Amino acid sequence: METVQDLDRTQQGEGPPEGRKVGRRGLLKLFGLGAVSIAPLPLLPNVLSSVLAPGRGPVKSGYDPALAPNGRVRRWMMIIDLRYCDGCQSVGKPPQCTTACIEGHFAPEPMQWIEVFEGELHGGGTQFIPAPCQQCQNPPCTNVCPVGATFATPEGSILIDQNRCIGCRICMAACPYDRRFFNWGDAPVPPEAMLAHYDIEHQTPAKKGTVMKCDFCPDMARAGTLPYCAQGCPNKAIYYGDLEQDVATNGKDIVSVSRFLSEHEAYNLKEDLGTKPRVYYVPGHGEFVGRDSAKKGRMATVWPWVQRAKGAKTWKR
Amino acid sequence: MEAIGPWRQRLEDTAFAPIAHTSKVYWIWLSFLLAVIAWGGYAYYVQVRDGLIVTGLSDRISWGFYITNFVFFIGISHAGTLISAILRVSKAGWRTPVTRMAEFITVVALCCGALFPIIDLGRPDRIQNVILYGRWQSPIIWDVVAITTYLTASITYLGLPMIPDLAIFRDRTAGWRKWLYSVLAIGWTGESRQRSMLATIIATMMILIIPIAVSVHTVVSWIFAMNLRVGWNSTIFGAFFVAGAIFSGVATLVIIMAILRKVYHLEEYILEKHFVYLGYLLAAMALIMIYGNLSEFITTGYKMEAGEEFHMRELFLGQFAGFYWYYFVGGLVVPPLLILIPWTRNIWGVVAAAFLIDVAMWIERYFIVVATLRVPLMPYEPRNYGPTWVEWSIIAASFALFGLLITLFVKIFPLLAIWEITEQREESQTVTESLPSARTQLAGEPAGGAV
Amino acid sequence: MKRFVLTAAGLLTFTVFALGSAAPAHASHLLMRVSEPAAALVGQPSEIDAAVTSADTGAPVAGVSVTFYAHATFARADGFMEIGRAVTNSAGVATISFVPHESGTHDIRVDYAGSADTTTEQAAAAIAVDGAAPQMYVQKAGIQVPGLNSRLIMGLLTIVWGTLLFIGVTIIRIARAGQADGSALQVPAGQGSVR
Repeated sequence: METVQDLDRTQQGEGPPEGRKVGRRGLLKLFGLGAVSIAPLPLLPNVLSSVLAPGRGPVKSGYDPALAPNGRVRRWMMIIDLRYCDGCQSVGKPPQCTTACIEGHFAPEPMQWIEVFEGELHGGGTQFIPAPCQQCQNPPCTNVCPVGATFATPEGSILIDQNRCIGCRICMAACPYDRRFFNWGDAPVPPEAMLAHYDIEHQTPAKKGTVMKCDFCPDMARAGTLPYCAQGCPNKAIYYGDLEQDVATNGKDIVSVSRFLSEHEAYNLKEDLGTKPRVYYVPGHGEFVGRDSAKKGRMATVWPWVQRAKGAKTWKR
Repeated sequence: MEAIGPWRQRLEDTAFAPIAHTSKVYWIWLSFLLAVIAWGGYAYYVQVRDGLIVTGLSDRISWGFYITNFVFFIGISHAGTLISAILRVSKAGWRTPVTRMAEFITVVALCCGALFPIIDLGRPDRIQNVILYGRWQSPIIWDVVAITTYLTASITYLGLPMIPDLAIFRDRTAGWRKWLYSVLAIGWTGESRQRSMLATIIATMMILIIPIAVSVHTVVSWIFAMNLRVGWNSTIFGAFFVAGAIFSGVATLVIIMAILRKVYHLEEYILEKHFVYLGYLLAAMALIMIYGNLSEFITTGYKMEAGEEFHMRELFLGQFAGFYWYYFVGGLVVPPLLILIPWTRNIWGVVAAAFLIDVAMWIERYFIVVATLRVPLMPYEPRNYGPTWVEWSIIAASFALFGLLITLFVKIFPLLAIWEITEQREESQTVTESLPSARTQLAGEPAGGAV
Repeated sequence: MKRFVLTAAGLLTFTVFALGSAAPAHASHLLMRVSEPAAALVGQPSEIDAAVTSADTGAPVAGVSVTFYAHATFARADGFMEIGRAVTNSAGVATISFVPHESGTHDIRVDYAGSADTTTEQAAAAIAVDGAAPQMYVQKAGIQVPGLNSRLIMGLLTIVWGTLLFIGVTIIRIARAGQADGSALQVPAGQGSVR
């Protein structure tokens, strides 16, 4: 009958078990070899993807960066002059910036890539705040994306590669401005949208299960045209500009960006969060186009697609 | 062949019983679970076909049941780590009968939990992008890495102490079972070299798995805490979630333990004492959770930054009030009372407490996800979230999968850690034998589970 | 050579204008003269002066508000953009600091918004800006702490998976030890204390 003590004695009686000394050295050797062979393991994804997916790494838009006249890369930005924005009350239509963007990009219902919010002012009145993607310089969405599907171009625009997006939606949880939209189903888009060849800079046609948002119209900006929203605004409240060349225009007037921002005490939305957006706002409530702050309400945005997009179901935001 | 004493023989027989006999109830139970899983599979097919529009999610509340369940199951998986590793490191001998079940739960919960981020994806056909294009800077990649590492470590940590037990099973079975156990027991003979090597690697794993487990639920919490959202933008999330994970893990262990004890007649090995000790652990973790809640809400509530007011109103007084107060009172306050009051400090009391806790912890994950997402980021009306049949079906299927895997494990692997229990008993007998006065006490010692 | 030509052109423009505006003298007519900065470089602030003098007496006029504009072209918009505003000092000179973002010739225009009985005057000049600065606008987000990068994660993972590999190897060695001992049917010795 053996007890534990007997076992100990047996082990001691046989002298140091043969395996032990060799075992220790052998184990150390093995550990060293193991660690060395394991060291490249974290690089395995790099190796795998360079073989299986060449062109890995940060997604690129595939286009050369837009250049300012003297060869330096553009840094797109936007200024929204709230003194001229009245939510298109004076025009009697839904906000035209949103309408122009929807029609230009075939944005599926109910996405409003630039959305006009009605914010409350102290004292009871309201102001209209058109909010496109803020194209942050410290973008929370880009920081968290697991596959790098959302990325920053050299011009500073934040784009999404819908071919890489896996639809995890952590970027939507991360965005503090509610500016990212998900294709919950097959998007209701008109038939002509299906003819468009998908491009990172167009995001058309929409792909089910991926994220979309305002992209600052990089293709149009490169060609020297203003984005749809800036073109659509009847009061010319939206300026599109270049921080590198230090100029911006709303289509009619041309301004020096640094001077304009300083002189009109421009601010960013949710400045305290440290996202450093590229969209600046000049405080106001549409007073320069005759709006009184007490005049509330704007017309609801409409999408013309649903009747024509056969079989598509829309969803609520 | 050595003669084995009656106590040891009983232990082996009890552990082997599930393998030896399978009752009709077992097959009925198995069929029920498979049916639920099949229905969940159909629901997932509908989701893949039509897109996530079939769920109740929306742009403004873009995470719901799936992420709740993900966090819940990963949380449960910390049961094994605490019981097996931390208690082993601190040489708490009483843990030995429950370690095997705890380790089962860890592996099974990880498998179930890890499915949910995939179920939640809009494009599951692109899951390989996570490997090909993964970014180290993303909390989701930290998650993938941590959970993969923890799953590997847990399977190892489950398998290693099981090797001697599987050798016993190998010696008692025939046919395909014998082949299976021979493979799994990797030629264990019990000689000294093998034992010393096994002891070394079990000791290594036991120390390694604790930081891995802590890191797993920390990075799961950072999926929320790395976002600028009221309610998530908190520095204590890591610690808070780890505490919650251990809490819900031990509660799940108590429930599973009670069920298996009844079904497989383990009353000799799993005593009321074990339930009471686990109950003390639950009480301690509940107090830590209360402390965490107080820290979080008193500090933010005192200051009431923008957005916090809305969040707290909906949490304490509004839409989520029922959930929150059940969680706090029913899940954090009542269970320690149940355990600390002598009248309820028994198996039933502890199991009731564990049940309250598990429900409360699921609800806690739910309102952490949904109540925060409901806080409006810009001036718009807050959105509501209501899960659809697809979401209900899939999470029911996930619980059924959890049950299924435990049911299958029980049929294949030894339910009790024979080797460890025996070792523990020998150690305690050696200790008591060295005391002269202990001889008389030894005669009156109840069978099973010394110390 | 280019600079000489441009400077000459600028001076010429100025001279012509000065002569032209000198012709009809009005009681409260004011003259403005813009002087170009000596050497203007891209990205460097350069001073632009506007001197306001009375057309009648030639004395400097103080306390006059003048606005400076520069010509720019962007996205099919072409025009003058305001770059500064200043008030003339006791010497009748208003100065602003202008940071050109492009090299080449910048047309500058200075406006004086007068009262009812003085007409608005404009003066123009062209400043030549030289130099090729590297990218002027560099976006800065975050700080760089040496060593805090993804290699840290890789290092941690290497240690953890290295240990797991070591354990895997040991398992194989256990298996080998079992085979070497032959009979696998032995009940493990020492397990089970018999009393």
